[in-house]
Amino acid sequence: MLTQDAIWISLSAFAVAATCSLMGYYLTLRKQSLFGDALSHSLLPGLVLAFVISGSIGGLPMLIGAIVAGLLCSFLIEEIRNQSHIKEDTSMGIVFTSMFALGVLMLSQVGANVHLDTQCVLFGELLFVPLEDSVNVLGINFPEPTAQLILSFGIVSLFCKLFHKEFIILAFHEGVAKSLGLPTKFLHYLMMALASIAIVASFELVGAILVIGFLILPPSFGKLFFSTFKGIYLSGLAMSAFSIVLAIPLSFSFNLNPASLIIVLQFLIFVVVFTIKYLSSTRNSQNLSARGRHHA
Amino acid sequence: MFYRKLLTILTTLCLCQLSHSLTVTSTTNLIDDLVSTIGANDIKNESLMGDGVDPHLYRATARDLTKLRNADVIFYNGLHLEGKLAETLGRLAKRKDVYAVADALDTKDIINHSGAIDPHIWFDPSLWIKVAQGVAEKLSQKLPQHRDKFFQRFEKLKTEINNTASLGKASIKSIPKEKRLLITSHDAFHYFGRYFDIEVLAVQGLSTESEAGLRDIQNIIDTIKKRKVPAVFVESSVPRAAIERVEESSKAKIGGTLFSDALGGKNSSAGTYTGMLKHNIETIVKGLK
Amino acid sequence: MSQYLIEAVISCTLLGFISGFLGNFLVVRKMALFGDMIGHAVLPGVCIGFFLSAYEKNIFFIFFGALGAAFVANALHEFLSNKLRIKPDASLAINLTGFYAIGSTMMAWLKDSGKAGQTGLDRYLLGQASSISREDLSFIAVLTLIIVASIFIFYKEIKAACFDYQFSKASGLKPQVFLIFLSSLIAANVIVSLQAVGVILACAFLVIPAATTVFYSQKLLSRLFLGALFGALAGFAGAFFSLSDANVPTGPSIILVSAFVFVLSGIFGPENGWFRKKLGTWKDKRQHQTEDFLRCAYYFYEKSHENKAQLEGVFKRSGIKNPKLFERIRKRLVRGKVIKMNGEDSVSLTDKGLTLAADMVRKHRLWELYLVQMMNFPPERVHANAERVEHLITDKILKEIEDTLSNPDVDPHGKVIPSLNDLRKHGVPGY
Repeated sequence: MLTQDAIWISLSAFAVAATCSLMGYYLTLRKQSLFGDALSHSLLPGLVLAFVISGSIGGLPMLIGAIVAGLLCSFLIEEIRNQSHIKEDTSMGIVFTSMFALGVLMLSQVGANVHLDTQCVLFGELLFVPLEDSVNVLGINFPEPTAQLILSFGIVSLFCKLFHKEFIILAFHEGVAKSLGLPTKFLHYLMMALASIAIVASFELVGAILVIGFLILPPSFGKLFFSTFKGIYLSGLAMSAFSIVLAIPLSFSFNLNPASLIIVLQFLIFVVVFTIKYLSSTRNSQNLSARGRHHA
Repeated sequence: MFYRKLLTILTTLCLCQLSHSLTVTSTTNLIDDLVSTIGANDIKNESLMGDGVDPHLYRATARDLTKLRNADVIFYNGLHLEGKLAETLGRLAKRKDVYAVADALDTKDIINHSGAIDPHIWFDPSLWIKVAQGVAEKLSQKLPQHRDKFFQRFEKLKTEINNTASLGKASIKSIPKEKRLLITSHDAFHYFGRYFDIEVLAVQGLSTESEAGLRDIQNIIDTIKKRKVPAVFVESSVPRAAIERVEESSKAKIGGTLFSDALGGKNSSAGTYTGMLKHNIETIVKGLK
Repeated sequence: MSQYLIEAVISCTLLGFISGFLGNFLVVRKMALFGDMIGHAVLPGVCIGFFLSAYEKNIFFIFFGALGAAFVANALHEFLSNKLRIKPDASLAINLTGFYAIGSTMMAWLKDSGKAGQTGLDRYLLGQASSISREDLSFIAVLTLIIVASIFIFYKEIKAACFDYQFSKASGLKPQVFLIFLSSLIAANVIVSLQAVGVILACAFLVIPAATTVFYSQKLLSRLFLGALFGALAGFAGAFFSLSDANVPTGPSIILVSAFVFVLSGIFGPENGWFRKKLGTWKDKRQHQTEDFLRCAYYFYEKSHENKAQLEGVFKRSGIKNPKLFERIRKRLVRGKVIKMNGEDSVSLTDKGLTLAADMVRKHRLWELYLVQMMNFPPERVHANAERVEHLITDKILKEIEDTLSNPDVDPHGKVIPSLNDLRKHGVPGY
């Protein structure tokens, strides 16, 4: 029975990996790698507003409030970037801190007697996914969150398939995109909206650490070896699968948090591989110059 | 021949009943404390949150899943104390014996701050007794053969709690009304205040994200000066900075550490419910007298 | 005002000052979220400090644990960024996530240790603006002095390291050293800020005031001063609002003030402020409308040798579609004494108008000639382009064109380019 749990946990984590490393690929291209973390802080005002309107903590209102806040966050980041010379990362910093501040202010005004923080009312926990209700799909009983994650992956990948070329051109050559007549503004907002919804939904199901980790680590790993989208994405997925398969049993043996351990392994793998690659590339260039001198 | 077989079967069945122990998993250590007092050796009890773990700050680890899976009965606080986990457990109740201990209470027992339900029910001994009775009842439903034992232990616990509570009430009453003001960082003591007839004031709210303003802290300092309140109190799991500032700027001293959301270590005097209650009351009275 | 309030306001103002100052280096190096990274990266350090202090929440162990983790994260960040196609913001994200996950795992491991003290460890280091202690204030003050002094002593080297990395490397100035020095200073600032005011305000202080300076100046030195000013202003005003009303949390108040200043600057700021840009565009548009009107009026003057042009004709030739707009322009030009009404439906150019018009026509026709002679444009195609470019030709460019074309007399369509002599002959003032 516990192995079944482990399978569902691994599958859910892998679904998050597939979705987030896809969105993360575009985000890193746009130099918005920390979007996941920024977004997680921006959600608070949405939660407080949802509480004020619905009168309760938890459940669907929280998710809706979070998504609205997420969309507002992405909109503001884009607006600031568009209307001024301010760069993406600075824009993110301005927006998420301001939105979080607004959330805390709203919380104080609403009555600090409310225990309303994202960790408590919004973020799910990967470990407890197997405990959830199941839904029957094609004869198999999937835990609801897992099914939802797979569905989100389906929707996100569909959009990305449709707009992949446009997103890429936009990220690499905004000028070219404009001259080709692409609706650059619309595409920017679309991408950000898509990313926000996918990320917030994933937060709700498996928590923040896993999501933010998968947004950045697999694409960065893939970039060490490949320069095409397929290469980067698939190698990132492979690395994710490897760390998931290793982390889940380890976390049970040592009683750790599986989501955190997955990300720790990914980070360690990345740093080790990066260091090896870097050292070998500098050694190569040293060898080349040595050979050069020899010939001269 | 036939009767010998029947005897063997019956004996085996009885032995199975005797050796079948009920595994009970609780979320908070407070509930676990109740369960182990009432259930004692007749059950096997586990908790997700160990010594001193604050439910607001709880992080799940892998064996917690195992504990929940292996449990025959799961108890959790309810009233959204355990956040998302409480929601999950609520859904799990369809398929497993999962109970929110707060269900033993009536609606009028629960403090509601205009939509925000205060989950810190354990600070009101009368409510915690009701909760304990609910636990005893649930355990008895699962192991009816031990009903008498469970309720015996419950009665003993009830007496103990009532003794501590009435002593505590008298003790706190002895503090002059002006000074009878409990100032803490975290807004967890409303039930305590209601039962023991002491005003409560918190520097920052319930949420881990909430923050105090300069005026709010200055107001507390002014109140302390006006009413000559001699002490303020820190909590085991909440950062002390705000209370320390209050202490620096007013004549009040830090009267001690209170346990707000968790029990103390298993081997400390505050490792049981009554122990924790006693510790809090004594600290408060000593500080404010 | 009690001592508590005074100290709180001073602390917030001072922290804003130094963070607004330093933040410029982050914004410029595209490391705006450096504060966020450090804030999350300290967690493993905090856990190790807790562990080493035998599970007691000993502030010294924990502080130095945090400091150690921050320096390791910073070093790793410097190592990763800009190599093997990993950009600085990606490197920050990788470190933030990785270190935080390690810290989270350590917390899980500590939970098992059964020591009651570990709960709330991740919050332990985080302060709040309303409860900055006196120690924090002294740390901030000392750090401010050290940082300002260091930056000014090594200003040239640091500036070179930030803006001309390759050049300084080639000149043997060792920019890597200065960059690490700089980010260590910033990391120290972050740690002190974390303890004083928490992660979010620490980040906000490093980003928002510095970002605001973008709308005022491009020079680093001005930005440093302005950033410090905006930071101090936000700290002061935010703290002030917090002490005036109940239920105004201090940190958020400060952040919202700085965000407000940012938005105002974005609209009205002298450099690239939205309002200024729109104003500039609007001014330009009006200028172009004026010049177009006059050039068209001059055309009729040329044709009839009479300083009189029918409004109908000018309207048709000007290419302005909206008669109401044309009417508004006409009124404006009359007010500006550039044209005179000659009865109901014709206008004459005043002296001022004549000067402007002739100048415009000269530029238009010279540019047409330039396109034809120097760039091989067919004569039929040059008019539309010249209509737009004529407004952009400055006197210097005009001189260049005249020299290149050797002061011609006639444009590609055979029209006379009003020469300087012609203009004098016609009695155009100023020639």
